[in-house]
Amino acid sequence: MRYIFYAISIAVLCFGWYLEFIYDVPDSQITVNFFTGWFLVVIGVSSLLINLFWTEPNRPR
Amino acid sequence: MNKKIIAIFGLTIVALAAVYLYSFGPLAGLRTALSINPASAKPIITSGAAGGTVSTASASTSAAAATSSPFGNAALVQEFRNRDMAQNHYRISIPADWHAGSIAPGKYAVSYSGGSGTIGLIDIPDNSTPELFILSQEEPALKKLPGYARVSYGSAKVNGNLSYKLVYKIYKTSAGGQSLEHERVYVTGQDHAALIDLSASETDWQRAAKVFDAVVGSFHWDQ
Repeated sequence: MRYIFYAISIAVLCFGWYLEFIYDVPDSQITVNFFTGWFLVVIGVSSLLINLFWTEPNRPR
Repeated sequence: MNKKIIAIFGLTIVALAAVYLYSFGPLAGLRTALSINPASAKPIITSGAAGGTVSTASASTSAAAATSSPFGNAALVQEFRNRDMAQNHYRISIPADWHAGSIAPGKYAVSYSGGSGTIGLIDIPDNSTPELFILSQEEPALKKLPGYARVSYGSAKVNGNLSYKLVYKIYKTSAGGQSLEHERVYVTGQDHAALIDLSASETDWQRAAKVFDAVVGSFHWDQ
């Protein structure tokens, strides 16, 4: 399950990166594209970090 | 939930707030990198007609065809070298007696006795082609103008660059009901296309068109 979250996080991060730096944005949509691209990058990075640092609580067996 | 997760969550909220402020908020002004380069606004006055050709299947018009007329004097030309947008440096020559000024990054407004126009850059989305863009977006918008009628449309080469030329008439109410004829030339480029839009009254069109073709023929993309 954890690897699915990794994959989704990386996909979101890459899509944000694509929107911000590769996609040719029409002049009328530059602001919306800027917001969306960085929004996805921030969400992608933070979800990756949360996955990395997430620790399961020690439960008695 | 441990402290690291809470810290990441908090940083995410702060980052999203910053993204919002830079996009739509008071910091949006810092993001607009495009500005008018002072070098773009100063023309270089030279004597003689500008070089370059417009080639079509039927005719070739050189800039030298721009003889002295109410629409310009070919003896002197002013060359504008636009350096506003990194991927779209260009130069274009216009008759010395035309008035021109930068009105936006990459864009000039020109006026002359008998008409006016604009020379600038236009963004054609990657998911479209210049021809599709002109016929599906530009022309439908022009059709809303009073008395719109297409005169001609076709493709040509401007100094090796594929271009599309749309000539149309509109009914100009402020000129005593006179029809105004426009020439719009789209020259394809690396990122943006160039759009040269020049107009004259219908009665002066034959004389004006030669000068307009010479102006279009002087257009070059620069590296």
